[in-house]
Amino acid sequence: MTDLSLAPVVTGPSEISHGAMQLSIDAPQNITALLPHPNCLDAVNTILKSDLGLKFPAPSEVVTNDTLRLIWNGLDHALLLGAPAPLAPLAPYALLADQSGALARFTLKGPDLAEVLARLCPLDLRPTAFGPRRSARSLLGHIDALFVTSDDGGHIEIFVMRSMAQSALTELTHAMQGVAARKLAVL
Amino acid sequence: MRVEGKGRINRDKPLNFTFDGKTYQGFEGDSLASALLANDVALIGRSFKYHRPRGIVTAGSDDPNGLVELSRGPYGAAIPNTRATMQSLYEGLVANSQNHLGPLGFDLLAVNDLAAPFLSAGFYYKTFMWPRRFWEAVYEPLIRRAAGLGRLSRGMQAEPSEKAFGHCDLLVIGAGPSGLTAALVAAEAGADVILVDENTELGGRLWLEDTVIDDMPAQTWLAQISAKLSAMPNVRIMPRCTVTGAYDGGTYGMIERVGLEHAPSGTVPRECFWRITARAAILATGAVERPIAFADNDRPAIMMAGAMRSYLDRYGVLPARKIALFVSTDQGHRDALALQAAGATLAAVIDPRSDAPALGDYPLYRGAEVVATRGRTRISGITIRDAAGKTTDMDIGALGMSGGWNPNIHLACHMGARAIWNAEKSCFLAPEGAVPALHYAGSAAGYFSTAECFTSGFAAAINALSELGLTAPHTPCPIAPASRETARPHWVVSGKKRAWIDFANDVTAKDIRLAAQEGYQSVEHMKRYTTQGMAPDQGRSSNTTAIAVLADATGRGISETGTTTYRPPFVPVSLGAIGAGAQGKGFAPERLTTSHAASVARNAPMVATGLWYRASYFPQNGETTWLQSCNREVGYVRNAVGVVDVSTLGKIAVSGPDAARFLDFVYGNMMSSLPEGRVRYGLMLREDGFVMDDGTCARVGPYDYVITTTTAAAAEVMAHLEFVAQVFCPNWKLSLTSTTEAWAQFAVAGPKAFDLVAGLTTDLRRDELPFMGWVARDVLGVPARIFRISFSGEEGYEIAVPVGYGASLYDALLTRAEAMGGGPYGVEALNVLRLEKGFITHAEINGRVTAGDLGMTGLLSKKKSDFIGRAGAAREGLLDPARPALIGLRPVDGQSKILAGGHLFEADAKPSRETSKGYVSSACFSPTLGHPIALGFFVDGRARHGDQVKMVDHLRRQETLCEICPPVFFDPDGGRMRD
Amino acid sequence: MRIPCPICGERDSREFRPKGDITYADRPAAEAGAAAWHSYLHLRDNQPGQIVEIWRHTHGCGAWISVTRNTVSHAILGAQLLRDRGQDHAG
Repeated sequence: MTDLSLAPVVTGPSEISHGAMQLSIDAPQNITALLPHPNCLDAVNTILKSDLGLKFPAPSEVVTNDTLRLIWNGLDHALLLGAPAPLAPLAPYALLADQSGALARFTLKGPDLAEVLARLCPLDLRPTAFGPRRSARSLLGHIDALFVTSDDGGHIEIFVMRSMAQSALTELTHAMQGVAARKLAVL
Repeated sequence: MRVEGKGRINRDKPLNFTFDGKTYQGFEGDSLASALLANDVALIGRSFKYHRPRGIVTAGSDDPNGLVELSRGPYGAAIPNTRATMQSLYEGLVANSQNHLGPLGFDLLAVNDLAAPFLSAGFYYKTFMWPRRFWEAVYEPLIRRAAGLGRLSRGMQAEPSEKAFGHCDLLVIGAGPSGLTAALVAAEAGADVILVDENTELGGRLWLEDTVIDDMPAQTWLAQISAKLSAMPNVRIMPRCTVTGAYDGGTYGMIERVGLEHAPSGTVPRECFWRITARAAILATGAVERPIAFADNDRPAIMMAGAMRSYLDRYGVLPARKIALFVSTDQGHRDALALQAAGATLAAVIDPRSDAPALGDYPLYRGAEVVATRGRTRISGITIRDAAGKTTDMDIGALGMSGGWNPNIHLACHMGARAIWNAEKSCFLAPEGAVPALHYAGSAAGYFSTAECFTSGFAAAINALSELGLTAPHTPCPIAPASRETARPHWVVSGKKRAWIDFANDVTAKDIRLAAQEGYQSVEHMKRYTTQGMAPDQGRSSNTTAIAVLADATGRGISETGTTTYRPPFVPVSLGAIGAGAQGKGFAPERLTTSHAASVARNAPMVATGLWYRASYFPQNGETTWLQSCNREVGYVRNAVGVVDVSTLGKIAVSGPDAARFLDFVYGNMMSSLPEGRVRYGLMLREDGFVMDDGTCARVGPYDYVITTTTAAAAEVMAHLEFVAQVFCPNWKLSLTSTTEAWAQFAVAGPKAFDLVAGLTTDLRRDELPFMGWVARDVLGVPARIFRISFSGEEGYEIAVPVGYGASLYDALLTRAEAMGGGPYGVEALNVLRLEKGFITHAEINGRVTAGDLGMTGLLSKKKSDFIGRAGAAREGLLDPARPALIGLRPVDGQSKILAGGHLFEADAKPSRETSKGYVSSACFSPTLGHPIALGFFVDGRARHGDQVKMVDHLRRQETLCEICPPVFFDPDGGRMRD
Repeated sequence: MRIPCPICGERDSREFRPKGDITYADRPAAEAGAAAWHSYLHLRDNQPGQIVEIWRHTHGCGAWISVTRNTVSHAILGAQLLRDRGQDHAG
């Protein structure tokens, strides 16, 4: 029995829209950071393949099965998202850190995706450089962030440290408002 | 005056605007400058130094004089120094002239003009030197009042500004004939192209072109190529954008005018500052026309010949009915013809060249010069001196001038390249390769005819494509008939009266000659002595002429004289745009704990600790000072139970077969001997032997550890550990990652702490959780870690739960603590509690202290052959027993203040820098002991316990006699927290 | 400035933080003696021209890298993962 309750990651609504753009905010549970130890990648891959049908993602790669996504999140670092999974066999070969709730996730969608992100992020977001189902670590304003594109490129997930969720929301809101206001002004 | 049938304005859409309180009408498509000229307003402002009447000179961003203050109505801060030539007209626009005292037509400061003989170059340097005492009282206030262009509104900018990042294969800067050609060729080869132009529409000089391109009128060709480019998905066209700087790695700065082009709305960003990263770029920025320096050439309605043409062809405006042109370029003659054809009375074309062409039916004065002008607030007449020396007076309403062309090469020289004088083309050109992957085309490269613009734009695109690894397409190069483009620079007309070169900073040809005569012969010295080129326009129209005059005065060639250094920005960029997004909450991200909302709801002032915000104290009814609240909160912990959020401490998971070995290497003390279920205090050194950080290390599994860092050093320690792991032991089997965000952690401390904690769990026995132990338990049904550690000196527990439950747990802890006579405490009380115990923070670990200074040499293991900082800490200077050591301090009188930052002296010493023997690092009032206490460092301090020393703070004028004591003030044997 | 991260590709320099000269990656042995440690901690050549520096892709993948660049021309000549230097220098 749990006497404690999960709190929302930001104060205020968890979905907002400005102009043609929508933003939803949550903090996914069931996130595990997976960091293979040096020279242990083969062992990790063997277990990932046999137990989960996955492999450790190369830089910028997102690997999926029916219920799980393994998202590249830095040097020798991936995030496993989705249903709870049996990870104990990996323990001798990798660091497994439960990051449930530790990351705020902003899901941004709409036709002006690239325009809004261009106001916050120095990444080259052109489809040729950052196509569907890719991940990249970069900055959202001054905030460290993980950017993950969807399979169809129609939306993007932005993960930031939970403690910075409110600031990230402020930044994203300003960017969305600015782009929406421009469109209204028929520039 | 407006001319029927000319221009690209929308005559169906009149717009009302106000200049200096008077209402006028213009049309959609007008710039503020064109609308003012259409209304026969020639006097726009006053000059910077002499307050002479000035008007519009050019039709572009290089205009030296047309600066106005643009009101933005209710949206804060009016914008000074707005260029009338670049400001689009909008309904209700309000602008005011600048830089005058009293009405614009009769400026009281114009008295400066009468004093001109005394205000020559170097005036300030020569005059305000003596008497010395006059400087502060007289000169500085005087200069300050007269200095500066425009004025700040001092209001907040309520309209947003933006910044943005852009990426492309090819950035084409300028959308005239060469830029358009280059963009199309590159786009058809498949390159991602960004095509930018600082005007509101594409075309550049093609709007003024009466030639035929690819067998069609220039404007038809322009419409076709514009449509073609707009339809291409790999082309992004960005009008109203000025590239302001070229930087390393193909990065370009660019300012986009957005909301400024429209009536203020409060939501549309004023401007957007872009950082564009391009694999290659093409400089197709064109050239600006060069004025001619002749006597009184600065009167309103004297402007560039090409500007007159622009106002006619783009806006349907003539500056006056009767005009004359003073030109030394063939283009000037063509402009004259166009103006004449539009209905202007062409009174004269004066060309100093004896072989000047006669292109039509107009009075042509070959080998002649304009030697004088008349008119007070606008030109009314000129005097022409012909080749034979005969002078003719003539009444006119406006005068155009053209002394050649200055290619806009600035961006190519932003990375340090020096421009090269090209004698054949009579202009400065950028050396090839000055900015990697930047190619030059069109007039910017010295190709002044339309035909050459096309061929050079085409060639630049082909070069860029090969650099991009793309194959040139089969697009043909546009064809235009060859045209005669001869020009002979005509810098200065000799004479005694002032001939203006830098209109913006009021520098004359004479000023430059004077500078040379007084020894300022280097172009950089001349610039600083005369201020030529230092106005907001950065001398875009005047630099080359000034260099030519200096070259003449010093007897050197122009080539040898050279240019000053080109630096960004190419046009002024508002700080609001550069700092876009940094107002208010945008200044820095904030990190909020899960107890943030509850703390704010209890009126706790939140204090910044790095990016984190922590509760300072929790005021209660009846408390009027923070100290009252703090003292009460200290009492909770000493007497009952207190709760504080410690989630801000850094938490790092370290895991793997080599994790213990790794921790031994990064900590001074031994960690590999730590049993599971236990926690150990640890000290990390920097490699130079000084203390980096302290914290705890808990062994949570056979190969798994969680270490904590201080809040302040969390990021530094994480980066350091990753450096050590990746660089010094890349093959050790271990990994580490931050878990700070995954846990909400609260300290529960005080005599009743165990009762509170035990009430949250089932079956927690005191003896299974000894001091410096930890257990995994469900806390209120959630899997948690409970550590028995103390930063207060009382029995203390830290409960860590998955972060999502933090807010809920905090509420539960406070409810229970309050029921036990305790409650929340903030960082003020936290600080007092740790000071009473002599626990250190980064006030003590200030980067200059060793483990020995802190009395912690025991934490540097002798058993380990190596660890980070071991060799550094063994250096002689770090082992000197006379080093200042950590001490406690209390006032001898039991009440006087001890101030952190104060210096310590022997009781009988005269306090000075030389006699300082230590300093105070932290201080507070101890409610537990009833007197002030402090920690500090004093030379050989451990041997001085019981001695009296003097604390002196010269800044806050405090002197207190203190007694040195051991740094632990309360419960020195630690029984309260341990047993 | 653009820095080619060996993991992430070329990125804006704002994502990186510099640490200093590459010397810092070559840690002396514990018993190397005072002179070697003094040199390691304090002595740097600081010549104009080509240099190798330590940077971290702080706001990206987190990798510590060496960057070869020319302080005169500003050219960035390459970057490598520091862990690929292969040697365990520690303990």
